[in-house]
Amino acid sequence: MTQAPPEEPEAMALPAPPSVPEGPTSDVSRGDTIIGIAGSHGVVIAPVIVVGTARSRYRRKRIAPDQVDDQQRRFDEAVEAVAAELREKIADLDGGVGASILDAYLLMVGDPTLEEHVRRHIRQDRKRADWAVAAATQAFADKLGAFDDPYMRERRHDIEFVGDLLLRALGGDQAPSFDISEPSIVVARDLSPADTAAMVGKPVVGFITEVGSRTSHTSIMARALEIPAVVGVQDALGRIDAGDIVALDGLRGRVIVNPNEDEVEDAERRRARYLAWAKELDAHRDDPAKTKDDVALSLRANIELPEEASIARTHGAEGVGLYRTEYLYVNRTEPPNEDEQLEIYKRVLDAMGTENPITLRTFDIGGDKFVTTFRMPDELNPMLGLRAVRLALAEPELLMTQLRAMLRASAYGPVRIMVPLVATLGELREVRAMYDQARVELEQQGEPMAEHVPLGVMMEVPAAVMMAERFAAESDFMSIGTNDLVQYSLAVDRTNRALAHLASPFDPAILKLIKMVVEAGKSQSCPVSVCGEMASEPYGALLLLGLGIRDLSMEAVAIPEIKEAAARVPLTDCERVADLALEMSTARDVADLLTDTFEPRLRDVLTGQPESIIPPAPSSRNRVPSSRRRRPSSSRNRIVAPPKKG
Amino acid sequence: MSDVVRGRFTIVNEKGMHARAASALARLASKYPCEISLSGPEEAGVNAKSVMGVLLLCGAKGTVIDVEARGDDAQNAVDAIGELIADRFGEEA
Repeated sequence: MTQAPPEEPEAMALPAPPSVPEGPTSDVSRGDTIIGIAGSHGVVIAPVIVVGTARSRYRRKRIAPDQVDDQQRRFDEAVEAVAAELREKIADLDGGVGASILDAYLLMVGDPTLEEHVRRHIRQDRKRADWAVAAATQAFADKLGAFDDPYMRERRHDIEFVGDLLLRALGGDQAPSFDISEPSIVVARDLSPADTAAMVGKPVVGFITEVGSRTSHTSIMARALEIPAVVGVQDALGRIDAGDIVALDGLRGRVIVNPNEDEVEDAERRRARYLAWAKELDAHRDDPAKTKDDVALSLRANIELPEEASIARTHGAEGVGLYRTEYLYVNRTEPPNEDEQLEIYKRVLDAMGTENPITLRTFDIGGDKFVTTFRMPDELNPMLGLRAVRLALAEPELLMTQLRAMLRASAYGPVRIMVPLVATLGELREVRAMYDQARVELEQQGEPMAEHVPLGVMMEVPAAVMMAERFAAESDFMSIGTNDLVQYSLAVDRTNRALAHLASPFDPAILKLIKMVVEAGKSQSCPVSVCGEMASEPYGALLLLGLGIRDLSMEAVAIPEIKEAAARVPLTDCERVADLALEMSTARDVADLLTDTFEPRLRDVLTGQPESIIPPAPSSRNRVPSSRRRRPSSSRNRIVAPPKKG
Repeated sequence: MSDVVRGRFTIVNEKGMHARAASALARLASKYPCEISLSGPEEAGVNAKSVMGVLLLCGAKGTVIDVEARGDDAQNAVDAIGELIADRFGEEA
């Protein structure tokens, strides 16, 4: 747990020492090192801002003596506003358990003890009202959290919730407003798509989150925005405060809070090395992608914001293999209409140029993607619930609007339409019928469209993979979504940290499923691509090449790495590895095989450092090789390792 | 000021003094004009009319709570609080 003991409410009367240090502490004590998961490459040293819940979104700002009354009034007004809101809800509920819980909240909001503590924070400590509320409620919550009784510990959430209500009322607005004026690292429990969307264009230089994995939304967004991230950092909010200086190492998945001078120096060295390496890769972004034995590949980008299209282009993406359109629906009360969507698709087409296709995926809403546009029903198991194409078919007007906008966009550049989470042929046929109808109607209305707009499916449900040949016969392309395929095949919730070890795309079961789709595509002359996370990691990408995939879509920033990795390995090696892997028993065996085979050739690609980091190889050059791109590999002729036993 | 009235009660309901129980107690206390404070093993001198305050009295089953009322109607207030606690805060459990 946290090293800091919960604050005593009594102690709150004393002004806390200013919590914003001016810079890295100069004393020799080492910073607090926390290990997490490397979510996005890069190294950065910067002050921290804490976001996530309303509770942590307040500004820690002290006020002038003459503002005390104002802040007190702000608090009083917030109490009134929240109380009025609660009373209204209670009246709506008209009795029942829900109402009695809200009753308790109502009492807490106007609670004299809370009021007294907040007043003390404002008057004596000169805290702004929001800070005062946060400090007071947190102190109560911590106090309850320290109880032995688990039931009482749970009660902290009640108080935190009341604190949230008050903070929201004080903020006047619940949308996350990222008031970031200087380059900052964002620390949060988790970042929603809406949170990260709100950060685009802000000087955010890194992410640290308590939850997440390499494939979680925060990691993906961080890589897309080209900022380092460490995710899965346990108790990050407890150990990092707003204003702390943090050295974030997204290569090693490590965070140092308030590093000492040596640690800062070390991080800066690593940062310089990484930047040199990234520049090196970038210099080759326009080279064609091919394996060492000259087999041509298509490397495309996954994007979710139109702004990312230009990032994709600068990373040498041959078009967009997956545009996650659900982000058009985030953070708004009404779904985007046809013309709005058309404008956005046109922007993406403009940014990418017209020589490569843009694959527009119809909205994948539901599951882990909470979207404010729709009132999603509460589901016990949302990942198996009304999401993606299921929601689209349940709300045909939404789908129709989107299909029409996508078809109209085809007049401005090459567009493909892709349907997510298809489990049965019936679903594909229903979408196809709507697609045909949309075409006919648009033609009647004289709207220009491309003659052929391919309609494809995501292969991410095992049942669909079992029927891959039929799907191949009825769709214009198939794209394997490895993240969901892993989740649904291995029955692993991919957001569950405790199960992360099971969720491996290297599991031989997953490889067999991928192989089935590849074979089905071949037999029906239906193109097959992969747009899952697996494609963006060197080992995964090489394995996919060996399984017969030539078209990989990934987050844009991974493209230079994957291009580099492929250029060092002949396809024949990939195929041998894939054949061996398909015969193996466990994901671990496959991972070991990949490491043994490819690691010596890819060390720098894997670590993001021109030379192996620690320890430096005896003959290592300390400088980044700038004249040559590929390190001469002593293991050029290395033979594929046999499978490990056991 | 009138006399101080004191009472000592033991929490007997299974769930202890949870949020709803605490709010019931605070609400009851608020009906009386007198000042009422509660003391338990974890906290002393908590304002009985404050849910937050009451919640801070680690009120698991078996906890002994001291009630101290000062002012008008003090006796009735202490009695009523004792009854509420003995009545398991009106809960079925």
